[in-house]
Order: sequence, then structure tokens, then C-alpha cells
Amino acid sequence: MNIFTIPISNIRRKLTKTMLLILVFSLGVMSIAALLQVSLVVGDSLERKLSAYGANIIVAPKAETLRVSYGGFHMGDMLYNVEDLDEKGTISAIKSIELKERISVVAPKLVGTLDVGSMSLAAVGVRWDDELGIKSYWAIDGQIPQQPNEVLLGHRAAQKLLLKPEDLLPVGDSLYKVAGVLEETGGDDDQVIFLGLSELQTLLRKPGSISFVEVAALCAGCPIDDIVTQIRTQLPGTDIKALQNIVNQRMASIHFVQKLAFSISLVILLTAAAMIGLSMLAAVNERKKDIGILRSLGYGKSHIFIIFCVEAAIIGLISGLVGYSTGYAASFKALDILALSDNFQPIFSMVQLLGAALLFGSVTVLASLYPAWKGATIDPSEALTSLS
Amino acid sequence: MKDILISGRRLTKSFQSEDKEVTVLNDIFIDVYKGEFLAIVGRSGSGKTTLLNVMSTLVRPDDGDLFYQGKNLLTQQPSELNLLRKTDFAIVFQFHHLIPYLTVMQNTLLPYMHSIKPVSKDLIQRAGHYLTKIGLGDKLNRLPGKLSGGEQQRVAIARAVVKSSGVLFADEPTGSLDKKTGEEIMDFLQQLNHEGMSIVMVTHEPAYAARADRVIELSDGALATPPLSPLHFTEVEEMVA
Repeated sequence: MNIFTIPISNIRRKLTKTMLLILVFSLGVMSIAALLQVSLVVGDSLERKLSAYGANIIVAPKAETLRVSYGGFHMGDMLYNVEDLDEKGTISAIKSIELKERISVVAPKLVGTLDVGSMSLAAVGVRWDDELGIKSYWAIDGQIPQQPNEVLLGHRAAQKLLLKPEDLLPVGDSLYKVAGVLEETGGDDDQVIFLGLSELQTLLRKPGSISFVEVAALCAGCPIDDIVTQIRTQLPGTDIKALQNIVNQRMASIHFVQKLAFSISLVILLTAAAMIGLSMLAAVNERKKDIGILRSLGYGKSHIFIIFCVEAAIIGLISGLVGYSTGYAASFKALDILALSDNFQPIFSMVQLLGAALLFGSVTVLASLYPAWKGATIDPSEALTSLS
Repeated sequence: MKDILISGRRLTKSFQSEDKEVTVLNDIFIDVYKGEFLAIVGRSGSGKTTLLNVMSTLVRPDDGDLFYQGKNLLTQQPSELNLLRKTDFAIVFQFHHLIPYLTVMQNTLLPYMHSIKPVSKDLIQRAGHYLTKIGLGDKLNRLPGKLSGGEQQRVAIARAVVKSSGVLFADEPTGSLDKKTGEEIMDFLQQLNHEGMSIVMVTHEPAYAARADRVIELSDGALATPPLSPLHFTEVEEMVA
């Protein structure tokens, strides 16, 4: 028997009412836990999906630009002193940075021109697996080249050359089979011929050389700037650009989902807290008699305050435990219904469970501070007038 | 000469009722002697309960001084008054006022349940002893709702007694009880008084007032002068009978 006996006994006496309060608050906690779990999983899933939509860091050789104009006529900028990068050295340098686990794809490329019949066309040598890693949006009529003598044509390049899948493409003295033709992308990919990197290096007589590297490194809160800095340190002679717009756009999509979930959670939390506060306020009015008795027995304001706060904390702790557990279970069902999870699953964490109990225990105590204070400051004589 | 335990001087108290101020206590002088059984009587609305509440520090007077063992209680901090009610003063109300969700034992030990530290075994034994003495030994774990009015009042008194307080303030302790139970309660109070406890009791029952050592009467918030002797009430009772 101690001061906790009083709130615990009151909870036991009003078990139905307390259970109802715990149920309502647990539903709030459950919604919050489920929303946060879903947003984390969806954010993770979305992040992976978005990262498949291209690179966000470009590693290119340093080049000098010369503006060419004469007599007021501008003829554009001219690059000079452009040197290719070493394929192996560049890739291994990128993959050795401290934040290497944040990098999902490293796609090296060699760019050049090829004479096809009477036309000169841009050609890009790629590693097919890496390229598909950052260009999962490609839709191909035909298939991805499987052999060194196969090529993939951009939509407009195929139109210019009047070629379709399975046709043959004459380049110099060799014939290449058109394995597939890209559906229109609306970008640079439409204009070019894609070949295997080694094949183009041979054709252009640039063994082991690459023109630039596209790097995909996207994750929620991913430190893109740090990754760029680390690559720059590893490759001092290169020009490294973070495509901030793309990064920010993707991050914004992920953060939007998480902020939305957070905002909804906050509204639910505030509503639940207000309910607890109102309930405690009603309890204070109901229990003026008890307060009067306790004050007449020498209980101080702090004792009355503690009794109401402990009662609120018990409700919050139980609601936190029940709400987190049921929210965790509900998140599976929500992900199932929304079909958003892919292969990602919510993670049950004991630390989160205890954290939820403590957090919601604190929230209920905070929501009950005013009612508890009101109860504590009731004048004993005022409480006594409600005794008869 | 008897030692003065509580001394009230020029005690005045008013309450706001609707638009006008009602003076409930008007310039009251009162002394309570150590070990005495004092009864306060008067008609309904005469200010008896307010005087008891003022003396037991539950209500602060608007004016005057209140001394306990020589200390002016009206200059004390609220925490010091809480301590006084916890240790020296015990209060019994007309409607017993037990906490409905605490058992007989818990209600009795309520004065000691204000900290995280559990109530000691000694106190539990002492409470059990008193409760057994007043015939509630077999009802220690019952809730007040399962007790009769008389039993509830006995628990309230046991709660006051277990503290070993110096003064017991009792506001119409028999007011809600039948005559037989009322007599039992009065016997119990007298027994406590004989054991050394000072008692200040508000009552409107002449028969019970007659059991006190001294009686004072309030009329419209003021003391009826001169103070009445218990003999007066014995005579009144005989007349009523």
C-alpha cells in the first residue's frame, strides 16, 4: 500500500470506463504505429523504385570550354582538352568510398560516333546489367543485346536507319544484329546506338576507356553531397556533378509520403490526447469528494497531482503497448491491401515498443497536466462543500 | 489549570452567496483544552461546521488568529498545515467519507499512503488491531459500499485514530446513523477521549452534546453567551423526553 494504490484501485473500480479509454487511445496509437510503419516501408520501397529511374551523380573528365563567336555571331561552346577516363580505375575508386553501401548502381559509358552507311550516328557503349539498373523505365521492342555483335537502337535512330529488331546494321566492315529498338523516351537515348562497352572500345580503338560514369545513389536522407565529396577526393581529376533537381524531386516524393503520415499521426495523437485530457478533467470533477477527503488527511497538492498523473500514465503506457503491437499487425494488412510493399516488411522492434509505451505514457501525462493541476489546486473547503 | 491546545481569536468568515456576502462566523473566541471533549451545538446554518473546518485548518478564516500549541496556524505555509493534518489533526465527517474504491484496511491507512514508500507492517498491524477492536476485524478487505452506515463511520473513526492524532474533529459523527449505532459511536468517542485524545464535536443532538465535558453554542455565527454547560443539555433532553 502506497500512493500508487489509489490510482490503481480507481482504475480497477472503473474498469469498463478505463478499458474504453484505453481502447480509444490504443486505436489512436495503432493508427499512428500502422501509418508510420506503412510510410517507412512504402518510403523504402518507393526509394528503391525511384532509384531505378536513373542516375543522380555524373562522373566525367574535366574539360575546358571555349565560347566560339565572331562578329557577334555565336557558334556555341567548344570543349577541348577532353580526356577519357580509365574504366577500371574510375569504377574501383567510386566503389571504394566510405559511403559505398549507399551506391546502388555504377554505370560507365563510352560515347563516340559511328559511320553507318552514309550517316554518322552517336554510339554509346554500356554495360547492359548496370545500364538496366538505372534505366528500368526502358521499354524495348525486341530484347536486350545478349551477344557482343548485337546492338540496341534508340527510337529515332532506328527510324533514320529504317531498321527494326532482327535486322542487320553495317558498321565499318562488320555487321551487327539489331536485338531491340527502344520505345520513344523523349530523351537523348532516342538518338543513339547502344553497344556493349567493350565492343565500342574496340571499334573506337579506345580499350579500357570510358567517357563518363553515371552513379545511382538514392536513399531516404541519403547524403548525396557527402557521396559527391568522397568521390571527388578519390577522383581529383574528374568533374563530378550531383543532379540536385532529380535528387530533390525523388526525395520530395519520399518525404511527402512520410510527412503526410506524420501529419495524420500528429492529428490523431492530438485528438487522442485531447480526449484523455477531457476524460481526466471529468474525473477531477467527479472526484472532488475524494480530493476533499485526501486533503483533509494531509495530502498536499503535489500528492493529488501525482495521483491523477499516475492514472493517466498507466492508461498511456498500456495504450502504447497495445497500440504499437496492433499497429504493427495492422500495417501488414494495410500494405497487403494497398499492394505497396513489394517484398518489404514492417520491422517489429522491442525498443520501438517500449519507446511507444513511454512516449504515449508521457503524452497522456502531458494531456492530464491541466486536469491534474486543477484537481490539485481545488480548495479543500470547496471540495468539502461537495461532500454532503 | 488546564493547558490550552487550540485557541481561536476573533475568528471571522464570510461566504459570497448570490449577490450578497453572508457572515458565517462573526468574531468568535474559542479555546480547546488538552484532553477535553468539547461539543459545538447550534441550529442549522449557525456556523458550527464552518467553525470546525476553520479550527481543523480546512478553511481559512477571513480574519482572526488560530493557535495550536502556541503556534499561529494562519501564518503557516500550506505544506505545514498539510503536515499538521497528517500528524496531529484527525477529521471525521457526518457522511463518513471513505474512498469508495479502497478497502476498509486501505481507507484506514489512507493517511500513510501518501508516498511511494509502502505502509509499514507495524502500521498495518495497528490498523488491524483498531479495526478488530471496533468489530470490523473480519471485514478488512471489504469495500465501503458493502458496509452499513455505522460500520463506515467506525472505519472513518479508525482512520482518525490510527494516526494517534492529538485532536479529533468530528462533524456530526452520528448524524447519518440510527440511534443504536449513534450510541455506539459516541461510546467509542468517549473511550478515545478517556484514553487522552482531545475531541471537538459538532452535533445538534442534545443527548450527545451532554456527553461532552463542555458545550458551546453558536447562533448566527456568534457564540451564545455565556457558554453553556453540559448540564443545560441534560435538562433540555429531559424536557424533550
